[in-house]
Order: sequence, then structure tokens, then C-alpha cells
Amino acid sequence: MIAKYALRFVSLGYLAVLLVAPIGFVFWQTFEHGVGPAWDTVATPDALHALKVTLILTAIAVPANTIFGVLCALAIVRHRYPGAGIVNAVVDLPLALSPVVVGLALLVLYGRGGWLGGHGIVFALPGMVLATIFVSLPFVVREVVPVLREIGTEQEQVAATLGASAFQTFRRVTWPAIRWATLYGVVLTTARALGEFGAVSVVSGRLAGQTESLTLYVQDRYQSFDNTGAYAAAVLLALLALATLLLMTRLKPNEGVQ
Amino acid sequence: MIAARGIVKRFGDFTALDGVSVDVPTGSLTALLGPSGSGKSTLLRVIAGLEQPDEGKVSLDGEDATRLPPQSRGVGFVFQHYAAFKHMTVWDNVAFGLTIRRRPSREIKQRVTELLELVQLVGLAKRYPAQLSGGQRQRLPSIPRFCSSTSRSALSTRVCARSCVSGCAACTTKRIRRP
Repeated sequence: MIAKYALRFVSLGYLAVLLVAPIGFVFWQTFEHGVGPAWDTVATPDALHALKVTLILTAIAVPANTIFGVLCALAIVRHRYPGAGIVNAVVDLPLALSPVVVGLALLVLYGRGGWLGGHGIVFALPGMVLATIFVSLPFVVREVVPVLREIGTEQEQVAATLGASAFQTFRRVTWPAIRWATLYGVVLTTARALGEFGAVSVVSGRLAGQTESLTLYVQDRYQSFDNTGAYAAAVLLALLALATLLLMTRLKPNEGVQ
Repeated sequence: MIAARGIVKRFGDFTALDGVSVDVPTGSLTALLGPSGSGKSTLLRVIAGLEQPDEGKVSLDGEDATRLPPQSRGVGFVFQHYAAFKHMTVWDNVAFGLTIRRRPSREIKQRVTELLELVQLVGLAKRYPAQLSGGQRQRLPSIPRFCSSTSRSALSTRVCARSCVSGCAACTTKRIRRP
């Protein structure tokens, strides 16, 4: 009995202190003087532009990494070829590397004097897109790979002996099995893309109203001693992430089985 | 007529099939007997196209099918383990082969109803495999293999639950039928 309550106390206490308290504090600070002032700071052109930039980055990175992620997972699990293990390991690179390193790598490659430099990639939106794609790449792959391993190949073989082409097999047998894993990967990818700071910070050049994403805007406001502006933008970011999570729970139907 | 000639299949160092030849005339019901691990399933998988033989040839009705992908062979295959599509209802499971071949919906409906009647699963068409009893589930996966109209033969690797032949560790039936 005591153990049961102790377990609950520890787990809930941990969440409360480390997750809920800081976020709650930001919300509280934002709306300390009511919704009006918070709204005013979010409605400034720079803030709105930063929001737009973040949404553009997410809207490009998430579909790209979803399609690539599913294909990559299939390549890792379903095909035997030399180097499959290397592919599997390289996919995790963005998780292991610090985003700042990623940003610097992109600068070296695409920046002035870089191998592929001089095409308006660095210090502009394309560079920020590349950075966002880089850091949010592993999530769909990592969610889909274990599910593909678990379902095995038998159902796909059944479909093949029944005359299904490779694409039909994927659409009717493989995809339904990995659908929810993919969706969860999409949510994680979205969260990562929305929240990316380090890599984007390095390649963006941080021009307010031009190459500033919402996370960069938050820091910019904070360093300019505009706490209300920083908190309001932070809340906006948090709400975007929350909306993503809610959307997922909405999309996922209550299946009777599975 | 299914003919396998000199089939060799190795998995690493292990030789599962070592020059196996077998002829199965059309319209016959053939059983392959042998202790477990003797390569019965592997032979059937080679015939169905799920494994590529290292040596030897498979021909179906006189045509060389050794390099054909499984979907072009028209060989039905009943898997040893339960292998219905878990995310599809009983109906969709049975209809799969016909839907894939884009048969007219009236034909699909008629054929699926017939087959469900045959295995006494008519009232359960809307259920998912997980919602069936063990016995009902056992009857389900065997039907779609007989359902597609182009299927000229069906291979079953089902191991009999009862001992079919005394002294035989496991037996595998292989059924051949005309469409």
C-alpha cells in the first residue's frame, strides 16, 4: 500500500516539478496582466513573421521526413544489402550530434567559400529548412523500424502469393500496420521542427522579420528585456505543440481490436 | 502440373534442400511427409516463389517459373502459422485476392459468400481475426488462397494437429486443385 502511494508520489512529483511547474510558470507570467498585453506582443509584425517562418519550416520538414522516414525504415528492415547497418546507424546521427554542430556543418558546406556555397542558402530560409530537416530526421524512422520488425514478412508474403504487387502489398498490408507508428513519428518530428533552436540559430543569421523563427524570436525578445514578448511567444510555441498532440489523439480512432 | 527439378536451397552452411525433385500432377492431392526440419516447408516456399532456389528449376504447367515473383505464379499458399490480415475483417480477408485483381464487385460478393458458407463463418464476416475463436480462426486463413480465380494450385504447410501417420513427427499436406 505504502509502496503504491510512494510510487505515485514519486512519478507525479517528478513530472510536476520538472515539467509542469516551468511551463505553468511561463503561462502564468504571460497572462499576469491579462490576455490583452500578451496578445499585443504576439500581434507585432516581427512576431507574426517569426510564427510564419516556423510554420513554413515545419510544413516542409515534416512531410519530407515522413516520406523519407517510411522509405528508409523499409530499406533498413526489409532489404538485405551491404551497408544496411551503416544506414541504420547514420540515421541516429542527428540525435547524437549537437544541433550547433549541425548548423556549423551546414555553414561550412553551403556558406561563403563552402563546397556548395553562394546560392543564397545560408542566412536565408533554405538553410533553415535544411537545418530543420536534419535535426528532425530520425523520428519517423525510429518509430517505424521496430513495428516493421515486429510484424514480420509473413503477411506481406501472403499478399504476394495472392497476386498483390509490391505497391498493393504496401498500401493494403504494410501501411495499415505501421500507420500509427508513422503518425506518432510525425508528431515527434513536428515537435522537434517547431522547437528547433541551435542549428537554425547558426544558419539563419537571425535577422528579425526575415530569418527569425519563433524560437529565435523568443530568445531575441528575452535578451531585449521584453519579458512579456518572450513569454507570449513561448506560450504560442507551447500551444502549437499542444495542438499537434491533440490532433493526433483526434485522428487516432478508437479501434475495437489491436 | 507442378514440377520441381534438382532443387538446392542453402541457408548459410545449412543445406535445407539437396537436389530435390518432385512432380505433382494437376488435380491430385499430394502429401509430403517427413520429420520436422526436413525441408518440406522450404520446398513449398520455393514452389510458391517465396524463396529463390540456389540450384534447380520449378515449372508450372510446363513453363519455367523459377525466376517468377510469387504474385505472377498463381500458386496459393497456406502459411504454417496463422497468417490472416489482422487489420481486416473476415470478409476483407477472404475478398483480398479478388479485390487485388479488381474483379467486379458482384463477383466478389458472390464468391466470398460462397466461401464463408463453406467454412461456416457467414455470420462472422464483420469480425476481425482477433475476435474469432481458435477453431474459427484456423478455418479463416485457408480460404483466401482458394478464392482467387487464377489460383491453379494451393500449397499448405499446415502441420496437422493430430498425428496423421503413426511414427510421423509431422505431416504436411499439399493440395492441388483446378480453378
